[in-house]
Amino acid sequence: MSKKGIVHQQLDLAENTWRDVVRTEYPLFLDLKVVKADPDPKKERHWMFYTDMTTSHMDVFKPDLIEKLFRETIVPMYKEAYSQLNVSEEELVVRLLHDNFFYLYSHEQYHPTFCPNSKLDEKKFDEALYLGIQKAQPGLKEPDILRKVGNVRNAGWDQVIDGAFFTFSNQGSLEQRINTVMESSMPPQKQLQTALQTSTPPTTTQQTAIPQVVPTHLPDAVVPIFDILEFETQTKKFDSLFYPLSRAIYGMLFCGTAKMRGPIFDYFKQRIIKQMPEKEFDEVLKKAVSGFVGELTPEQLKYLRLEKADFKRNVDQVFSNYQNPAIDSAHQELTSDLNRILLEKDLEIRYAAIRGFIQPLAKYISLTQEEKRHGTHIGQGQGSGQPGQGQPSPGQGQPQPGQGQQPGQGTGDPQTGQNQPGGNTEAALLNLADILNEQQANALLSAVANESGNKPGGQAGGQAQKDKRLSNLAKDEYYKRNVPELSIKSPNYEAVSVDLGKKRVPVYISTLSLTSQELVQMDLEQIMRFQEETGIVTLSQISDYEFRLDQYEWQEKDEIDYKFENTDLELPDNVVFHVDSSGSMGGPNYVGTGQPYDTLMHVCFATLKSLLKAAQDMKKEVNIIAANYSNGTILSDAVELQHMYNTPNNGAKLALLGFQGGGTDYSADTFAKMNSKLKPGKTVHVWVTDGELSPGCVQSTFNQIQSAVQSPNTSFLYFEIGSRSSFGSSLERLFQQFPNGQYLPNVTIQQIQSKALEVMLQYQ
Amino acid sequence: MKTLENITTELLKRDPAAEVETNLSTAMMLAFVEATSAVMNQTTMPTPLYRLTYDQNTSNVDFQLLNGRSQVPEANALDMTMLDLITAALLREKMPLLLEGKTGVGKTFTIEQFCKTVFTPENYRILRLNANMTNVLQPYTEGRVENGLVKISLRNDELDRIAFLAVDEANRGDTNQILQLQDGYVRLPTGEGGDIGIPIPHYVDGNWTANREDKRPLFVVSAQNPPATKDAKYSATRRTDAAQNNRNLQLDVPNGATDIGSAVLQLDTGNGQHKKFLKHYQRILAGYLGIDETSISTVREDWIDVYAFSTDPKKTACPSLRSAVEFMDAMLLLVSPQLKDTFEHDKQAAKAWNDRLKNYSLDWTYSGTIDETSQAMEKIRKIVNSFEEEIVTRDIIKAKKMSDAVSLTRRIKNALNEESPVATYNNTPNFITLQDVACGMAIILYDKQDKHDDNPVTLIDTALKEYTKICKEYADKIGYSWKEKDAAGKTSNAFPLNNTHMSVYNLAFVRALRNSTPGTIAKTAAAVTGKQNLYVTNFIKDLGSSVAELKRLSSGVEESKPIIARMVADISTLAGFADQYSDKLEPLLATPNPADRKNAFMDFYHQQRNRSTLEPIYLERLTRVIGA
Repeated sequence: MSKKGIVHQQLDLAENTWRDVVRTEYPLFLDLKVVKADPDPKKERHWMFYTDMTTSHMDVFKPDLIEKLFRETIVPMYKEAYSQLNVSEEELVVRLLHDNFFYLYSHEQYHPTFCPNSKLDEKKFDEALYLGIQKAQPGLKEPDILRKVGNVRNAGWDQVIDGAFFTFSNQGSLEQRINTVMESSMPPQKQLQTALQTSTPPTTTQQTAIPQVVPTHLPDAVVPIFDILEFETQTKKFDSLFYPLSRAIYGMLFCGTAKMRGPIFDYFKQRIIKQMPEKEFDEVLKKAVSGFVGELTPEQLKYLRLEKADFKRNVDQVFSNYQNPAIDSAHQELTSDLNRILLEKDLEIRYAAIRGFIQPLAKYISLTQEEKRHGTHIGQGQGSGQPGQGQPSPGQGQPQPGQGQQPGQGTGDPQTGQNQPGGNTEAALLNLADILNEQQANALLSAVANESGNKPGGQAGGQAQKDKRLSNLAKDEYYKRNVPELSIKSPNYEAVSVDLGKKRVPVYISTLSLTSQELVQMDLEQIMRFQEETGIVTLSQISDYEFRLDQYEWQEKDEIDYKFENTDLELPDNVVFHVDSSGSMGGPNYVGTGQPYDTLMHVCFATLKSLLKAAQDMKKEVNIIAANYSNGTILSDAVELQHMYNTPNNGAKLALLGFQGGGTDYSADTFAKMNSKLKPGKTVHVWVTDGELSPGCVQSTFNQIQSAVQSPNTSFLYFEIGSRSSFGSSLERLFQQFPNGQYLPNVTIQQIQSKALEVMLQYQ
Repeated sequence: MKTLENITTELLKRDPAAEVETNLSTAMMLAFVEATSAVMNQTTMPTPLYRLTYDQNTSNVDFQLLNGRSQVPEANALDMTMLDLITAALLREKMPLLLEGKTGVGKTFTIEQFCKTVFTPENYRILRLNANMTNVLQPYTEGRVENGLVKISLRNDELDRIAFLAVDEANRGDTNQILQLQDGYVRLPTGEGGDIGIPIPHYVDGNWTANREDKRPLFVVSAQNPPATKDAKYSATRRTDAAQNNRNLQLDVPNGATDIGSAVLQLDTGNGQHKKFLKHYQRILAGYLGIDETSISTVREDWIDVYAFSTDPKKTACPSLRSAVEFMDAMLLLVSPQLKDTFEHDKQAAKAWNDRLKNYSLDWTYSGTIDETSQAMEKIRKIVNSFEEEIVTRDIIKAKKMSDAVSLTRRIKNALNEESPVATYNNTPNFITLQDVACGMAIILYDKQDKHDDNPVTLIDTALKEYTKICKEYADKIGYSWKEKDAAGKTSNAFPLNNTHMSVYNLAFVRALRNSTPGTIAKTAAAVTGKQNLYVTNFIKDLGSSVAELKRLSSGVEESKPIIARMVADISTLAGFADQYSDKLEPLLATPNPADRKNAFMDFYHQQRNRSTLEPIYLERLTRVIGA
């Protein structure tokens, strides 16, 4: 194996530094794993850092590029800020690489430690962003607010944790620990040491820059180094401005000294004001930082011992004089206050602050792409350490952008992972559905569900693909949350055995014949106690001189008890839904509208929910197939019930939820295709329509149904909502010969539900 | 008593005013430890069990299970061997040991060697239990058959004679019987009974006397093979049940064979250990006391009296510092499976006091909430769930004992490494510190785990970090100067382990006492308005400001919230107590000297503790705040 270059050497060394720090400062997080990918110049990105909360992925794919950027961009920045710095470039590169990596390790660990440090925190954070954006842009539709939440949440979390790192690494035990660890672990850097020994030690706890500190201190501006490198590699015009603006806030807040704050803030500013008026830039940044206290209540401010006016004065002072060392103490006070505000979850302070912070920035958030530091994110990691894989790619079965989505293919996939395109928006949707009140949640879910194309299958790519998946998720969640679970009663309620563990029982071993002399040697107390405990007489006197002792030993036996369970439910092996999505059933934006197709979906989900419960109780695997017909039939693959119900994008779910809105054509080859997907055993067909089939497909459909009901293992339910069609009548006649088929005209939705379950849950 | 009398004569010859018991106790205890070690090391290999390291700068404990493998010495590390633990447990009050390990690893052998070294055969018993012999009380009972009826009776003579009882294959015995012995008494079904142990000699009015009222308790060490299955609670070789597990200090005896290697062949396999032990003891003690060895030669005749005096647990007992007690409380909160319930209960208590104390217009409530879904709480829960049995009251007692044992071992080892061990030992602060509690807890929590996949030390370090942070920040907030100079003379940010004042409760209490004096304006106003009990009012208001400071110290860290909620509830309880007894406390707080106020307040509280009508909340919470 080739020798590691300085980038990977420092990546490894920084891990040791970070681990030594975590051991004492955050002991509960000592078990975080670290995975590093091998270098791979073919990768699109030069580095990536992300976490799934248990493993930090620290991937540097292009170390040469990173080293070059450090040498050509970062080092000159420090040299310019500190003209008296008399160290070699080599030493400075090594040191800055190490310290920036140390910060990045800490960054990934700070997510589970501080934000989002729980599912509840994640939900409340999303809610804060949602309400903040909604307040700032009242005309924005719910799906777009959601998209902005999804696109900005990662940057919001980072604001919290990077503020925490900046503050803690400059004060108290973390600062001391970093210094101690680095003092013992940093490689000898003779020149740097010498240069620094002649410099003045720090006089305040303010983070000071390299030349003024002992070599163990973190250099100032270690946080924005990452962002500068990202800007350096991003030479195109910004598509949206939230991310660049947030970097400017980083430059302002996370540089402790004017020497670094000045050039770094200016660096970001100069890039951004090419795309927006300088005045607007200045105002929005001040408003955003002041916004952290804007939504705080008097009670919250009292708890924090903060005055809004003082805070805003500090903001004005820092923004107006950021290049002046005289405001360093005001800067320290500001960042320290901000850290207290953002770390305090009690009294909802964190969320109120985020609500206020996001308002001035809301309009700059992209609707189409995530406003995060590209190269850092949170979520299920993929690809790390796997040479040859590019940027984390969509999960198994997830259609690739541009490939479209074919419900008939594969078994579908779960919700999009958080590091996959659109994943954050999907996660935010679920969180908001949980945390908003029921009315708001339903309004959001139905709005998102009805917003984008509802055609099952079809081609879609890029943003359309993301929207499609989001819409599918919204539909799925809407119905899951709004259908009741129907109780299932079994005719039999009988005892089944339950293993309760062990019990002890006395087991006879042997009999001893003892003289009185021998008897006194025995454990007489134990004999007495055994007799009392068990009622078994073990010692008896045979004569004046002879005793009989029966010996028992305690042994373990299994102890069995019984409990009562529903039994004798027989579930089908396959359930096939044939759903009519012709124009008469409603429109494509049917979710939550009360249209027939909306009602039908309520029925299907309620049926599936109850069936799933029964299948879990009976430990039976049931396959679900959906045949959605209108302009022909879209037939899904067979998907196991649990997977089908629990995931939003599996083929059966997509076929069921899709709406064609055309005629009433049922394809002639549907049953032939379907039969190959059925597993052996019993099959229940549930067909729901509101009228006639198109004349051209009546006979072929009739033939297919006729063929199906000839199998004794098939049950066929043909429901007509509010009508009695001639096709239905012909089936009625057919079913007179085959009682396993039933025609149910003029039914209500409740009747469909009841009847379908009755047939699906057969009793033995 | 002859030996003690002879030594006393020698000491008094040199210094007629010498404090006999004080002078003798440390020297005899250290001589006992050193002589035991000297002889045991000739017959057995040391079995290193734990390495405990406490980093004062980071408030961090490191715990290593050594598994019988000796380590390269490390500065500041305390290595505890099996013999250290046997010795420390023997020197503590009723701390039975249970050694568990595979056949042949040397647990029974070690116990036997210890017995043979320290005692003559009449003073110890080794019981090997089997299917037919499970009676642990047999040394104290005798049986006979009278008129065809089985009768048993107590052997009173043995109650005062047996100093050490080793129970081999203890998991074949009767739990209740073993528990009796461990608790220091025998009670037969016939009603006969008595306390077990060796009467301790005391020097009273120029004479050495001993009576049965004050005994050096029987030291019980059990050994057993691991049960065949961990769930086999009632098999012939069952696991020791929960009652015993909670009482015993269980040690997993590692197999050190591969590490010891051929060194074991060099060990002395002969007999006569006790003679050698006494010889060492005489020589060491004579050296410590600066007396002639021959004046201790009678020790062969009355060794058991000398043993009782040398190992009297009361003489090496040490108090826990307030910070150690507070840390222990913080630790126990985090390891409790009912963490959330306890937290809510503390919040409820604070809220209830808020209602009771509304006249003071202060906020006593704690509004923090524990986010149970947080990563930190999940990690804590995972560790707590890895304990085989949840923490019960006896664990707390055991943890205290273990901390005591660690503290004692540390002091003994420190002393024995110095030129003048007796002087060094006597000059070392004899407190149980937060460091000792952390190390003791590490052993206890490991002991509660069957598998060590989830390291409980991370939980201890978390409690250490949160408690010391809260304590230091609170001290800073109220202006208490707690920082010490390090070895280089620099001001250190390390938690001051031996500072007797450094504890949140103590600082809050003392500050409130100091600030209870009303100002002139308040006095004048009170004279006009007729307002009563100004001192108590100020005392309560000052406690209220401490509560306000504490509530702001969580910094959004979930794991600190239970600790703060507990402190808020406890300090609120102190305020409630002061309010309830304000008429009686007012004159006590009006005492000019704050130290007198403290004593008077504590005396008053202790008087109330003796009353049967004192509300339980004061017994429970104020014991933590102002001590028992």
